[in-house]
Amino acid sequence: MAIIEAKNLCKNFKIYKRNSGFLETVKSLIHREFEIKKAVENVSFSIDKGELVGYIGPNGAGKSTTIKMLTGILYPTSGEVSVRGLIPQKNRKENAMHIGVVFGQRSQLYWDLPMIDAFDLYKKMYKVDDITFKKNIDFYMDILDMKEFINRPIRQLSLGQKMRAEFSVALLHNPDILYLDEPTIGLDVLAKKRIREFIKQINKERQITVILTTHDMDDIEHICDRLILIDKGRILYDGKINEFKTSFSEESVIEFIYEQNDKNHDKSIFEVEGIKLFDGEKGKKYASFSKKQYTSAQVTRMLMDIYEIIDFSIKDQKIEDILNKMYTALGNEGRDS
Amino acid sequence: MEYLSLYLDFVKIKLKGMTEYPGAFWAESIAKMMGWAANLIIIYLMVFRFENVFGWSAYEVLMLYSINATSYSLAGFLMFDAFGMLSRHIQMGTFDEMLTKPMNPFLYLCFKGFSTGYIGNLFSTVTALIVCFVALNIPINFTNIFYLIFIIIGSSLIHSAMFMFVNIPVFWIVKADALLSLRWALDEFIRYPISIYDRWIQVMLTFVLPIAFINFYPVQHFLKKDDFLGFSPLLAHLTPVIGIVLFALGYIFFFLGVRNYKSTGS
Repeated sequence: MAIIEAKNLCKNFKIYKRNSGFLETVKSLIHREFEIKKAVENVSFSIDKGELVGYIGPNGAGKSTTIKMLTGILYPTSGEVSVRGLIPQKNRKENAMHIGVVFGQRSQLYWDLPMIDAFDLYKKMYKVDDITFKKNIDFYMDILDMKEFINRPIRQLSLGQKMRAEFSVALLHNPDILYLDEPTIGLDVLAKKRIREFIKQINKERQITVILTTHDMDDIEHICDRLILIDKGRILYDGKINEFKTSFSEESVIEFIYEQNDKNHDKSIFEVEGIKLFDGEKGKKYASFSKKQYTSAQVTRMLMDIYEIIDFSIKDQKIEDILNKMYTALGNEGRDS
Repeated sequence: MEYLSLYLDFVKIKLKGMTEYPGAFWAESIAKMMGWAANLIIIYLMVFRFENVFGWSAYEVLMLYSINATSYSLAGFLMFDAFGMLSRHIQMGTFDEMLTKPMNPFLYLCFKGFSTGYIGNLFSTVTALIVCFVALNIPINFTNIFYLIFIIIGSSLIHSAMFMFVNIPVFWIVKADALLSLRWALDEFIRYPISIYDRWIQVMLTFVLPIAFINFYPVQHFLKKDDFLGFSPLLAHLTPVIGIVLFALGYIFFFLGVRNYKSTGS
């Protein structure tokens, strides 16, 4: 059964135009022109209990806006949100009782308070009974290794410790849903790994539904089963993470520079099926090919036969690259149909 | 009611936090205490020099001022950080947190922002109040103390509403500095008995922006004065009613603002 349902969700923001020039500025004091920015446009999805969903997209794609509508922070311009069968904006307290929120760049801890006191406060706030409280504290202390800093005020903790603390308070009341907005931002590799394992474990043991936004593709790969990709407020992809990987990240790219003055080569000379050439800046060229079809060595050899290569490097595809390609691909598809 | 002890916990946290930096606490309290004491003394000396202002003696004017300042300080405990910082909460997006807790966002904002910075003010202004009571031979008996508390609760509510009305517009316009200065300008008006102003200002301070109810009308009950500017003497007892109405309007205004909260991207 769906625990979270979004139907034709839209959120518009008014963006006031800034005009240059003195007269225009004066005019804008009286009458300001604005345009409507559609931050989220017709987004629909349905998430089942226990799912681990990665919600990704570039900056300004509408990720946070969607999450904020799901948590009840923002009111949708149109469309419906239903979380556990309730509208979060209307049933704020009831909704808050059953969700946990970790926003990577905003803390919900109390600066001068050690964790042990924050726990007591949250126990009261969420009306957690003594048995659950004791059980959860022991569990988090152990799994998140918090014993060493439980008595220190939050302000003295490292970022990694703070993030662990954030998770433990967000989960103290056994929420059904955990919303994570960039939970691993700024953490070192080890701390990231720890957080990822923790998320997977609590999902498995407690059937907590997790919705995660991040820019770190590794987070998604390690944690999520399902991926929702959004750009310019619209959903571009919604499906299994495995399918996403096979269809979009199997490409590899070789970047190379070659001697240009001997013969007038151009890409028409290099016509091997499955290998595409692109011009880059400063005389660089890129050859992209499917890893299923060729190995990097094969492609390099072929390139060397034709071009007098001075330097080359095999590019690991960055997340941004894969995503970029995806947006273009999906965008074109959309236009054609 | 079940939340009362939870809200009081936030006060405890702040007090605990305060003990972490005792130096800062004492410095702030003593500085504020002295600043406000200086204000009080200046008012007293000024009126004393002129013997009286429109029939109000120096101690009577001092009492006006100290009732205003006491209720302002009391309102400040819960309202100053909550609403004074609202603009920053909104710019930084930290207001998000108020909306994801199983609590009333208004009360959560107020209690989480509990400020210990007004203890010094309160010390000065309450001292001044006691001085006025003694100097003006107002009997300090049960009825008078009860009535004083009654009034101060009412005028604290009016001050709280002022905190709200000048700051809540930040939900729409993000910054409200101009409104803040308007608020301080208004505060200047009620330092002296409003009988000194033109008729239209008196009407405005009574019916439009009813801040004369903070001190001018209620204090006359103690001073046995009859300076009601041609309005009904009943106005002396209306402070708590005005306070509750304004506070309720501010509360509604706040939730209208929440509907319009835009948060910020992360």
